[in-house]
Amino acid sequence: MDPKLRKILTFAVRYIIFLFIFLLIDFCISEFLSSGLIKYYGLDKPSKVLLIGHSHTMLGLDKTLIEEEMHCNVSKYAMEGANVADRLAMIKHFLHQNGDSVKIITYDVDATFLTGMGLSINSYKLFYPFMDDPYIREYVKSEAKPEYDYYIKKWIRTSRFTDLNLNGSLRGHMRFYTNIKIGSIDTVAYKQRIAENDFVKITFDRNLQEEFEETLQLISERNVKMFLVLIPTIGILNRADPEKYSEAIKMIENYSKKYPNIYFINYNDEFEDQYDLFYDEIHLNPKGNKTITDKLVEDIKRILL
Amino acid sequence: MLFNSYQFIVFFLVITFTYFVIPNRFRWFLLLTASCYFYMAFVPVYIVILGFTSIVDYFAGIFIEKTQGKKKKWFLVASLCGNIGVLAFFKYYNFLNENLTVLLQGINFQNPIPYLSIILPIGLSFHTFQAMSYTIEVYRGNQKAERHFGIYALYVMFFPQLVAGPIERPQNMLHQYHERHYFDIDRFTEGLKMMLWGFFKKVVIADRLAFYVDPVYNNPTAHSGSTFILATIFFAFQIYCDFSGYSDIAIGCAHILGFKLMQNFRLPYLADSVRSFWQRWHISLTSWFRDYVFFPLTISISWKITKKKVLFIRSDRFIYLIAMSVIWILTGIWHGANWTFVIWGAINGFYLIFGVFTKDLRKKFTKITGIDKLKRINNISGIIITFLLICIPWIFFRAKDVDTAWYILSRIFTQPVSKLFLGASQWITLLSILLVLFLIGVEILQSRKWVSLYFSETRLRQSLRWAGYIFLLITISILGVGGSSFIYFQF
Repeated sequence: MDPKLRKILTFAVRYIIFLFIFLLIDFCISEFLSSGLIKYYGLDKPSKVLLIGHSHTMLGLDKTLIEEEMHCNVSKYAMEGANVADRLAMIKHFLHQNGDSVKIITYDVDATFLTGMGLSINSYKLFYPFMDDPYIREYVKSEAKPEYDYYIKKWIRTSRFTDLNLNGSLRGHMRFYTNIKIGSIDTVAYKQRIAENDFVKITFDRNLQEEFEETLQLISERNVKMFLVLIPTIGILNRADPEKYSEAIKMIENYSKKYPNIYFINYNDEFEDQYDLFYDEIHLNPKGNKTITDKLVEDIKRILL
Repeated sequence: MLFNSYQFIVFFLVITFTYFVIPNRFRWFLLLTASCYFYMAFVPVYIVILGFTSIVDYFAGIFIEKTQGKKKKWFLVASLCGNIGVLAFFKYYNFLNENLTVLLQGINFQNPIPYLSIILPIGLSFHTFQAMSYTIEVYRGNQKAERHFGIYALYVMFFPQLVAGPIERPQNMLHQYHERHYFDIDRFTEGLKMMLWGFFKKVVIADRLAFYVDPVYNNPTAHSGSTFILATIFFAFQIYCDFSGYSDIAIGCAHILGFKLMQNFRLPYLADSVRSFWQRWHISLTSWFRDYVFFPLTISISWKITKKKVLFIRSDRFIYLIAMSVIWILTGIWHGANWTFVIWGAINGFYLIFGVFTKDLRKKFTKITGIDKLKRINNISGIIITFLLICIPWIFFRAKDVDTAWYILSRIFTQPVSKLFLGASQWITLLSILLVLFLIGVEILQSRKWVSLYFSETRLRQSLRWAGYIFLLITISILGVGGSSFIYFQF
């Protein structure tokens, strides 16, 4: 055989072996990450309480504490940047996986949750790790832009994960759910930012409203109680545009009044000026997390009894 | 078209395959067409500028070669004016106009010259400098004028190094376009490895560090001194990984096609002096200034100075002082039309001049104190001090204006220990630190020849190398940040 051709064939065999090893390791790592994430979000077991939301819930509610107080399994399916459409997908995903176990859902709301901006328009990517689930597969396939992105994720399995998923997965494997955002907001600097008009303006996106109504409709059709929980955002922010803020709160109240099994709990009135609870303007620190979780458990018990 | 995009991967695979399949006589045309397509994927109309400078320099090269004496010089001057004119217009027009406005306001005049809304052509400074090196080398007689216009245009527009270098020399590149390149599986593999390391530096490290650096530098009033320290250290690694990552991908691409581009970075953050740093950072630019500005300038000044001392300074040092000041202000301006870049250049120039002026003193000091015998400690402390010194001008490089840079600098020195911003995500910040440590670790291994650097041999076993490649691939797959442009494209 021609030595050149022989060399190319040797290399071709090496490349194939390399590719095979890569795909094998890719598969093993993705399985490891996926199982960690499933544990982290509590998708691995039926739960009575499901906490749905984005970073407000992630940092604001302590799943372990709720489990201890309510003596039941709790799943915290909350992702950074998950908008109303994503949360609908999350609820459907959870119900698809765990059937009728859920009796209580908490769903975090705030003045900007129907704004659309601020929450990532690419947040569907958060679902790539679960794309083996038929429902999620359809969801991400319909959202994927560009379309080939979907196929890359399909074949290179580790590409479904991001650094945040990696964090969630490791936490899931270690059963580590604690909020470690230690520290408090610098209110002087934040007031300066508000003065410079540096904050998300409250608007109401029609599509998100429709998605939200669909979510409420879905829940109302099942024997599930849903709590729209306004995990506190700092008062300095809430007072930046008081009219729009009141309009948003009124809107959430109206949604809750429309359905008998939907309740609205607004923690801003009580906690928005307790600055030591806030890590930043919209996220709670461990102290805030404990305070709000305790209060929420108390309120849920009071309302349900 | 960005290197870090799927489109580029498909584009490059198609071009590579076609390149080795078609007859040799058509290859220059394929590469030229591919390069035009690559450049036009950014802003199509700017291909006209490249076309214009290519035509000017092509004919200038031929005329320079054909003529002698003053005429020859005039053709060189015309070519340089053409190139610098284009650069000045697109890059510096508004900057000069802005400064003129400030000057005129000082004497109560209104500037009548209008501002222009111009988008800077991508990589303008890179391809203009490469084009200029051609006419200068032809003028010096080091390079024959290229008669094949297509090959000359390819020299200016070769896609791997078109938008961010390395800034090549005609002696290194032109003959390569005439040679026949055969597909070589070893070279193909080496090129892929180089590209892989470049992609890792860009999409995993540089773009991740930006998550911390951008919010801090874009909103400086909200942050403290310690946050600026961390952000500046991160930026030092961000810009290194961004730019050297681009160079690695460019060198890897060209290597696969059979072209050898010059090394642009040689472990700069392991340099133990500022001088050594600048011999390792953006080598193609620093050597450009050395060959085309520093040497001619020092020679011309030295002819004019006959005294042993000028202004109480030894004449050789005085010449160095003048030449370095000019070079570093030009280097700063080369990077961008902003005073921040001028100050960045001036600080680096100051370091180098200070280094030369205090060389004897420092030598004496280390000898008297006995520090010169502690070689390892000397080396490590040199690396750390150099890095910290280099970080100071990076503040000016990254800040949006001079006031902001001074503000950041003052905060660093007045409140170095203060509340540290941990980033939008503490996890990502922690990951960034781990990735920077990993980079340093790999570079130390590269410096000790355990890991390959610029196609050098490696001492690692194949199993370990494969584990390394798979680690890089998986890390890119999970941690790769997609779709962000390279910092140096703006230059």
